[in-house]
Amino acid sequence: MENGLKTASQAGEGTRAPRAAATLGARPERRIALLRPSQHKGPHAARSREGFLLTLPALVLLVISVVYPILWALNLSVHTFDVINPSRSGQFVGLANYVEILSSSDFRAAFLNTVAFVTATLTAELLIAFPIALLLHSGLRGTPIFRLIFSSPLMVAPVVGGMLWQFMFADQYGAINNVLAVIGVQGPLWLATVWGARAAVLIGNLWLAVPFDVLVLLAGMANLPEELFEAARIDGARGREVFRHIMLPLLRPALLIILVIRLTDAFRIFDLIYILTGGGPGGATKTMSIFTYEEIFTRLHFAQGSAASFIMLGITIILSIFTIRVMRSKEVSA
Amino acid sequence: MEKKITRRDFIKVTGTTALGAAIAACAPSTAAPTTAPSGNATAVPPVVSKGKTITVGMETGSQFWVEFYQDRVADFTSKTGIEFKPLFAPHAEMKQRFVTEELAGSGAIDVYMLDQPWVGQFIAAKYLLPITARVDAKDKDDFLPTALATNSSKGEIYGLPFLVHNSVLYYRTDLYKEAGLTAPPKTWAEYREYAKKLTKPDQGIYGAIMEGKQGPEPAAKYLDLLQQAGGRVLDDNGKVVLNAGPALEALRFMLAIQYEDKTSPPGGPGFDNGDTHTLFLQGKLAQAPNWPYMYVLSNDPKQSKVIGKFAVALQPGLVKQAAQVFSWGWGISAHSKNPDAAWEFVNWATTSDMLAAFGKKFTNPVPRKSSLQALLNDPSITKEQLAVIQTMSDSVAASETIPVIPQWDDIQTRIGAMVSKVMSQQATPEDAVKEAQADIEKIMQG
Repeated sequence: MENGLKTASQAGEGTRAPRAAATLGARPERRIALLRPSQHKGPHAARSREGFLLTLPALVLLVISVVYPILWALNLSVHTFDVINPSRSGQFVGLANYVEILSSSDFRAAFLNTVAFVTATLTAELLIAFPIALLLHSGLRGTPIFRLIFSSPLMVAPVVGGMLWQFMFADQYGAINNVLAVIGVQGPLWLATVWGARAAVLIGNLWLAVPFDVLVLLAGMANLPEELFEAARIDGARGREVFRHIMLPLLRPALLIILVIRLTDAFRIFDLIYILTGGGPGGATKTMSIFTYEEIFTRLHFAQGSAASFIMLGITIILSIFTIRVMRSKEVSA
Repeated sequence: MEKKITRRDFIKVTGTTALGAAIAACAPSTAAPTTAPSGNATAVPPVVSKGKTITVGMETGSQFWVEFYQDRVADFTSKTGIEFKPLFAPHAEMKQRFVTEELAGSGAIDVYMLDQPWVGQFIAAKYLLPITARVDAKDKDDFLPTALATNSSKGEIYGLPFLVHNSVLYYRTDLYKEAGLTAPPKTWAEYREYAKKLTKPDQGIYGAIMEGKQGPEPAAKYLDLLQQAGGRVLDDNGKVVLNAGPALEALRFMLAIQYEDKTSPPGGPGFDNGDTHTLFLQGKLAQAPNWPYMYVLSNDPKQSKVIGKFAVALQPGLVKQAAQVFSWGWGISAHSKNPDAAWEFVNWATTSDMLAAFGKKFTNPVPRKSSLQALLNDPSITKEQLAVIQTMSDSVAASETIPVIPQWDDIQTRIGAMVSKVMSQQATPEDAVKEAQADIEKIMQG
């Protein structure tokens, strides 16, 4: 059973080659070799060229629309840029803009708020998404309708979500506290207190983000080999053991996707907070994106704002790599 | 066994994160213009702009001004032959959109709808075409001096206002009668007393409201109180004078109403003007300072429960009855490829007749003397509406506007953070003012 687990999880994104390799019980080196068709001459090389040519237009567009602005912004972050006195623009200042941002107490506070938010939301998202996905995966009657209902927030723009939750959380006329009042509970002052506002942001974000996690987990669950579960049941494994020792390790690729995508998403959260709390009260929900936005569009400090963006980018890359390494190392040791 | 990160993994990660950073950075695609097209030093001869199309950047979402102009724009096209193309942005995104267009220098937007807090920045960055020479001498005399000043700098006009307004006090006449009150309060002390008499928490009715959400709107409401207390953020020489007494008086007044008297709804520290108008329309506020736009909403049978039960007065004061004046105007992009056609629009959108119609439709103060006269002579306008417009105009006349300087948007953001911090009881008024004073001094130093 352990062998089966290892090979199934290593099959990763479900490509045929690793699955075939897994079935044959091939050694890791052999499997990696199977994944590198470009090293072979003949039809593989021709297919590679064909694939490259077919994706070339998209790659060119990507370079123009994404890579160029990023390089431009990177260049901006190491120069002066003064919209009011253009003659002061264009001087190379090295890392001075980065130092200015990192030494700002506002940025450090926004960084800590962001880290706390990302940690809280990712943890809560997974804790909520797993039971929902398991329920929807169970095939009970009516699950297709619930799948649709759970997916609907994905179609809502974050800015609209922010406005909606603003009405929900409002004191006096908001739906949440009015519902709580019906059952005799006095609701908190969501948007007027530090922790109330933080909780409101978290709840609003969970509503927007959990459906994505659920859908990815459902896709992962749909690809799980049924025979492993049957074997486990025959061996006498109980529900919790099956979940912990079979399902969870097999869902690692899905979890990796969720963690990396949601990590980057959560790090750059903007619209929801901007609408819901404006970063308040007293800066308690001000994240790095809001700091960057104010730096660029309120103060017109484009160079410093670009530096703040690249600091965010650096932190996100490091955390993403760390996540991949941890998940992959567990995958290998499993 | 340790598994290393492959190039493919790295590309996946950096690709996803780079996209996020690119969005966050909102990097402009080209350098800022080193020089803006110069304004006309002498009177501009009439230019035929027939057949040209102008793009007008306008606010959408929270106001109905857009509909007002859109309903009448066919008249503009038939008179001038210039086609009108609107480009909409919600208020929170207008500045971002316009700044990006100016940095790109494409001239994609010819006319900007201008919110006064950014006007100083737009002027300093040369995003706006000077229009002093284009404005007729009679028109210059006809606009109220304060109104023209909201879109001018160093004697040069950069935009013409269509709305110059400040917050007035809305009060419930029926609840006043029940409480034995006969006239609106003129002082802060009276306001507090009235609010205590009018507050009925068991019925969900509050006698006052103190907005404390972090943002520009509650900051504007705080600036009202600061002016009422006789204070300012900057003196005439641009020196930061927030740490003088009035700033503290204003914050203490807010705290007293919110936490001592408890006459403002408990959620006040998380509210802005949107919450104020929602609560007032629902009949849950007996007194509320807010912008003129709330008058129309409060008389809309589809959403208001207070029709015929409220009136408007000047806000009470400590030293004087006043409120911070702000304007909305029209300005021409420095990169417009059709500046003459754009001017035709700005001129048409701010004619005396147009602004009189605007004032009549929305019950706003009007920024031209002739427009006010036209309203006074209009037999179709009700006495009540006229009295309201007069009160709103008096409020503007008794008050000061914000300085047209490039740092103002940043300063107002900082004021908003200070108010929010105090109202959520994270800082004392003394500490918050001290911090804000230091930060605004840094902002002014650049």
